[in-house]
Parts: sequence; C-alpha cells; structure tokens
Amino acid sequence: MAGAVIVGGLGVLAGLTGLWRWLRVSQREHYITGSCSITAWRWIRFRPPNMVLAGVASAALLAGLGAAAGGNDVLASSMAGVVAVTVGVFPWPMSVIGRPRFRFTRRARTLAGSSLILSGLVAGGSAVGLRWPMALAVAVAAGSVTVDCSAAVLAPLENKLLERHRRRAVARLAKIDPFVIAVTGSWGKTSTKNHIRDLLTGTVAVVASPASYNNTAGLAKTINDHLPEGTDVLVVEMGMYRPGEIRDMCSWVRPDIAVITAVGPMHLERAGSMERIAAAKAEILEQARTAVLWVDDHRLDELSRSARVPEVSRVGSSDGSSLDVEVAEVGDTVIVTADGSEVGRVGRGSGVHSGNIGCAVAAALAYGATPAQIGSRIAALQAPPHRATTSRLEAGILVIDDTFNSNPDGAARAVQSLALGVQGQRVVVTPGMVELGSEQDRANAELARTVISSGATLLVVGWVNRRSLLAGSDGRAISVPNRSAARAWVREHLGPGDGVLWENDLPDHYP
Amino acid sequence: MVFGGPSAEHDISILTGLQAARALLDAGTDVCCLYWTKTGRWKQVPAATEAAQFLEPEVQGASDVSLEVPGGFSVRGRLRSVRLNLHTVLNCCHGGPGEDGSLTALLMLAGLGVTGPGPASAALAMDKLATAGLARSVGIPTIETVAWSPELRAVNLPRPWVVKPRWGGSSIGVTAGVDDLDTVRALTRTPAGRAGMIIQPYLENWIDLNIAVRVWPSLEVSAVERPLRGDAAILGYREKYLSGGSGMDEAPHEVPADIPPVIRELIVKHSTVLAQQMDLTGAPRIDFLWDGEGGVRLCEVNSIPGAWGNHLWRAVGTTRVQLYRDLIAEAEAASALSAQWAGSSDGQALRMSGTIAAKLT
Repeated sequence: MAGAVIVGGLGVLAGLTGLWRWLRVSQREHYITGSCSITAWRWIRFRPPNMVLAGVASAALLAGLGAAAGGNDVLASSMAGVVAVTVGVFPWPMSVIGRPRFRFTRRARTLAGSSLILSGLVAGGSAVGLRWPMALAVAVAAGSVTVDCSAAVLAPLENKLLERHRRRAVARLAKIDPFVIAVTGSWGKTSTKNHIRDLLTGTVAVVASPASYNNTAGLAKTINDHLPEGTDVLVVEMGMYRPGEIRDMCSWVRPDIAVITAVGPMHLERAGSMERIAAAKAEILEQARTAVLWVDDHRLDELSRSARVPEVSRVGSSDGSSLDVEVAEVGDTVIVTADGSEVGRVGRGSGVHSGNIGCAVAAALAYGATPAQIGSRIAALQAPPHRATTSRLEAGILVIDDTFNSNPDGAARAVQSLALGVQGQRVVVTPGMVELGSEQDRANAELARTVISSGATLLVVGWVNRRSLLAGSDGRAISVPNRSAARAWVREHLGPGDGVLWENDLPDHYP
Repeated sequence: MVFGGPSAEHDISILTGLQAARALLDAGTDVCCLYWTKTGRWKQVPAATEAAQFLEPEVQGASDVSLEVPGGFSVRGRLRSVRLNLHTVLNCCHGGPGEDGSLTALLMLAGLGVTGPGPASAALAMDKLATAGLARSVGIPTIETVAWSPELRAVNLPRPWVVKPRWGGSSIGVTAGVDDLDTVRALTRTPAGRAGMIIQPYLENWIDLNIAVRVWPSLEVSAVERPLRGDAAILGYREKYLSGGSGMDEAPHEVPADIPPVIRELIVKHSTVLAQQMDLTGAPRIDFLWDGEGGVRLCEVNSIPGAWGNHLWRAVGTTRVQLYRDLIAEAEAASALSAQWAGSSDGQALRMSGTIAAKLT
C-alpha cells in the first residue's frame, strides 16, 4: 500500500513537472505544434544521458505493460515508478522553471488547462485496461506529446480569436489610413524598421511596430494597441515562417513601400530551399508602389530587374551607376549617397550596418522626405540592443553584444569588428546558429573557421552545434556547457585590452 | 496616478508619473497607477514599474482598465469588472488631451477629483496665443505674437523669428532662426505644427527664467530657476528632458537663479497675478524671458510641468511628497464638479415649452 502511494505521488509529481516544462517550451516556440517533441528529440540526440533516460523509460514502460498484462501488479507498479522518475528528470539538465519564466497569458492558461485535461483523459482512458499506477505512467510518459496535441487541438480556436483581433486591426487601419512601409529580410528587419522611424520622426507622425513583432498577431496588436490617431506613416516588419505568410499579411496591411534587406538561410528547414525563401520574401512587393532592395545580394539584384513594381530603389555598396542609394564604408564611417550627392554619414561605432542604413534612407526618400530633412538624422542612427552593440566593462574588456543575431553574414561581420577593435586577446562565445536546415552544419563550421582564422579563441556553448563548430575549428575550440560557464571562463581569462564577442544566444530549452 | 496619454510628451509623462508613484509609495501612500496608452486605452500597472518597461509591447503586470462616465475606473477581470475605489487622481499627463483640460473634464464627469487646473483654465493655459492675450490685458508684458494662417502674407515682426506650436506645453516643434514664411509654412505641415502655429521675434541673448506657483494651501511661489541651454538657440526638448535622464528635475539649471532682487520680485508679481487671473490651481510653472537688464516678458504657462516642478519647490523647502500631497488635498477640497458647471436649471423652460412639433412649425 505504501509503495502504491509512493508510486502515485511520484507519478503525479513527474506528470505536473513535465507539463510545466513542456508548456514553457511550447510558449517559447510560439505554440507551434510539434515543438515540444522536437525539443525532446534534440536533447536525446545531443546529450547522451537523455538517451539513457529515454531508453530506461521506454523499457520500463514496456516491461510494466507486459507485467500488467501478465497480472504481476507489483512489478507493474515498480516499473511505473521507474517511468515516473526517469521522465520526471528528462530532459537532463534542462531547467524546469528556466528563464524567461513561463508567463500566464490567456493563451498559456488555455493551453495549460487543455493539456491537464488531456493528460487526465489519457490516464483515465488507460485506467480502463490498466491498474492506475501504470495508467498514470502512460500519461506521464506522454507529457511532451500531450502538450503538442493540445496546441494542435487549440490551433483552430486560436486562429479564430486572432481573426477577431485582425478584423479590429483592419478597421482601425482603414480609419487612421497611414502610409505603410513594410520591411522583410532574413536579417536586419528590426534595425531597418527602427532606422526608418528615426529618419522620419519630426518630419511626419511615424509609428514603428514594437520590438520584433513581425507576424499577423504582432501586426494586429501593433495596429490595435500602438497606432495612435493622426499617424502619417506606419513602419512594420514582416517575418516569414512559411511561403504565403507575407502575402497574407500584405493582403490587409497593404504596404506602399516594401523593403527587402537580405535573403539568407534562416528558417531554411521550414521553407525548403533558398529559392523558396527568396520567392516568399518577394511576396511583399506584390502590392507595393515602391520596392527598396539591397542589391548586393545577387538574388535581390535579379529581383530588382524582374519585379513588377512601379518603382524600384536599388540600394548597394558596390560602385555602380545603377544604384539609387549607395553606402560606402570609409574607415569608421558609413557614407550614404543618393543621386550622386552625399545625404549623410554615421559612425560604425554605434553598431549600425551599412545595408540597413542604406535601405532605411532609400525608404525615407521614396516616401518623399528630402535629403535635407533626413541628412542630419542619419548621424544619430543606432543599432537596437543586442545587435552588435559595443560596450566596455569596468575591467577594461571590450564587449560586443550580438546575441540577437543568428545569421552567417552578421556573425562574420561581428567577428571582423572584434578583430578590428581589440589589440589584446579576443574570444568569441557562441552556441552557433540554428534553424538553417541543411545549411546549418556547413554555416557553423564556416563560422568557426572565420573565428579561428581571425586569431580569436572560440568558446562553444552547449551541444546543439558543438560538433560542427569543433570540426570547423580543427578541434581548437573550447567547449563549455552553458552561458554562465562561458561567463566564468571570460572573467578568468580576459583582462584589460582584451575583447569578447557574444554571438547569438539560444534559449535554455536548447541543449 | 494617471500618466502617459496620446501626446507627443507621452514618454516624459511616464517619467513624471513613475517618479511621483515611487516617491509616494516610499512615503507609505497606497498608489494606484493608471497608464493611459498612446492609443487611448487604460491599463493599471504596478506602482514600482521601471520606465524601460514602457518600451515593451506589453507592460509586465498590466491589467486592462475601463473608464465609465459617470462611475470611474474598473479593472476588467475575466468574469466581471472590479471597480477601483478611487477618489482623486494625480494627473501627470503632459501635453495633448491629458493637459489641455479634456482628461480633467472627463475624470470630473466620472466623479473623480483631479489635480491641476480645471478644464477651462487648462485649455486656456495650453493656448499660447490666448494666454498672451489674457496676460497683456492684465498688464503682464508678453512677446509680440502672430498666429499663423494660410492667408498670412507678411509678418511685421523683427527677424529672425521663433515658430512654436500654438497648443502644447513642451518645446517639441519649436524652431528658432526662421526668417521667411515659406519655412513657417513647411513647419505647419510637421506633426507638431499641424494644429496651428504662432510666430514670435527671436529674443537673442534673453535669459530663460522659470517659476512655479500654487494657491493651495496658500498663495506661494517657488524658487526662480535659470535653465541652461548649452549652445542651443532655444531651450529645446533635448536640453529639458534628454540631458539628465528624468526630465527637468535633472536637466542643467541654476536654482535659485542668480538674478537681481528686483527682477525676482517682478517675476513673482507677474506669475501670481497670472495664476489668480487664469484660476490656475495645481502647481503650474510659468516661464519668462529676461533681457539681462530690466525687461521681463511672459513666455508660456505649463499647467502640468515636468516632474511637477519638483526641483523648484525643493529649493524653497517643499519636499516632493509634500507637494504631491498638497496637490491631492487641493483636488479633494474642490467640489466634484467644477464651479464653472455649478447651478442647476429649474425646469421653467421645459414647463413653458409646449410640444416640439409646435416649435418646428
């Protein structure tokens, strides 16, 4: 009897802990169906102890079911206990509470409630054929799948709610009727959006979507909650998880000017191929009056010639007369030229990227701002936080924070900035880049090569890209389990005159 | 505590509100913070929230609040709304409908006491042209002012000019060194100038002098302050709010200003006369320009000054918390409805009226 109580207690504890853990993962992954199972699989794949845990749990579950069928309740109960313990600590050592914490939003509460009910149903359904310790073990083992299934079941309901918000946003947008500038691109969206806002502020009443809001829900929220009456220009960014998504957003936001900053392998695993990514980004141009394209990217260069848009503004750094806006990096300064005369310049020390500056200036000019109006504002442009922003610690160590970046191009540039800015020892701390599909291993190996050849030390955080980063560095990289270990390493090894680049950061549900 | 609001000074207002909330909280007062968003929604936010939170898409710990007139504020719950048991609102909104009397009127009609001037006085103080007219009529020297209109063909003022938004208390949209009407016309198309602009001669080398006045608990003036412009032609938004971090409280200034006693007396006299004539309750800040000799001109009135002019009052021994408490006490003592709205009609007209149909024939 006491044994059954212990097993029951363990089962309930493991079940609740598991649900909490997977709810947080689901929230971090924007409630995308399957994200919990993918995360669980990632931990099994990259951290061997979890392979053992998963193996033991599966074996115990099968043994328990077999014992239950054979009428051996004592063995079944023991096996249920083993399942509870192994699943309770899986995936080891992922934090249950973690950072950022689980936030009890309306959607999260709904998912938590439905997951709890679904878990109860699984346990109850299993109890029809099994004794309850084993039935509980089945529900516990199904933790991550339960949350994924709940998210799948709730998806239509959430879409319906979103549709209500979207309709409200459509009505508000029609009433305020601002000129809309939309920005997409594999990277540089948020910076470019903020630059456009900063260039137009003072000349017109301009609002930019907050943070990195870039999907339908974010657009609807921006318009409903952040767009005041009397706004002349609304600047939004549009992200792309799947082809067709940007077209859907444009169907009701209707950008007048569309900006594409870059085409890269981000979200390659969802989109399939680079060509499909480029085509999906180009959806933003379909209804626009003016396209602003960063033509240093050869795909966007081709697009600038083939796109059916009334007006195309070509932005680039290469020396060519076919550019409408040209950006040149001269020493520490970015100089922006339009129609052969200088519009303005900005120091690179503020972390800005010339491509983003160029696209923003082109968009502002296309809107109708004059070079005189925006010229002086160019000098004040700054990169948003965590995007190659530079600071100096009290200990005299230069810190480049590029933790919001996860694209190969930006990473290489940040490594270069570190090399230029630091005479002493240099360290690059990174977990590598993710969501690059088939390109991921190659891109990370390439990043490691870039770091090593720049003369910096590479500190690999975590396990996700450890193999490819170590391979790219010819085994010369140093591995640490997590960010705090990396911080300790930096504190111990670096001193005045040294520098560290924090490149990308993965949430703590990545191994 | 109400702050934020659909105005160009939304951000500064958040700073004023959060400072007041924190000071009162630390002094043991129970504070309910109501944030008025840029789109005009209401949110209750934790009193100890930091300013940076307001850059996030959603302030942490915020709950939706609705305003019912009459009735007051309620927090919207999932099942039912809970009425917030409020009596008096410390209005920390700068600019726009938060300062021009609109919000004051709305809250008064909802049955709440509101700090600062009544709706009519607030509206008057917000209009630089009207304020100058009233001041001149009671003998206070003002700067010559011309209101912009599209038909304006010539301006008979010494050049260069300062062009200012006619409504609005901050220096947003103020441009110095203008000397032709085309530039003025261009400025009237900017967001700050669209509602209307005024043109004044640019008084080069004149010195800014600010003073705050209150009539509660008794008529009292603050120290006179001399804000320091740096190299700027006018005391701009940047000098006022972006140099110190939290509004004029920390902006570079000289308090008390090193000025001759006769000038101080002149400013005290003009400001108290103006506060009484305009019925400026609360603790308005009144800004003057001084020519460095004997000449003083009224510049403008800020009925809800940044950080409630705390640094001006501190210099005469009134603490921040005392200032807020006096403002609240003054608002509580005023009747729920403004004196301007007092009196009730007696039904005579309705009794005598006959039918509406008869009136239409």
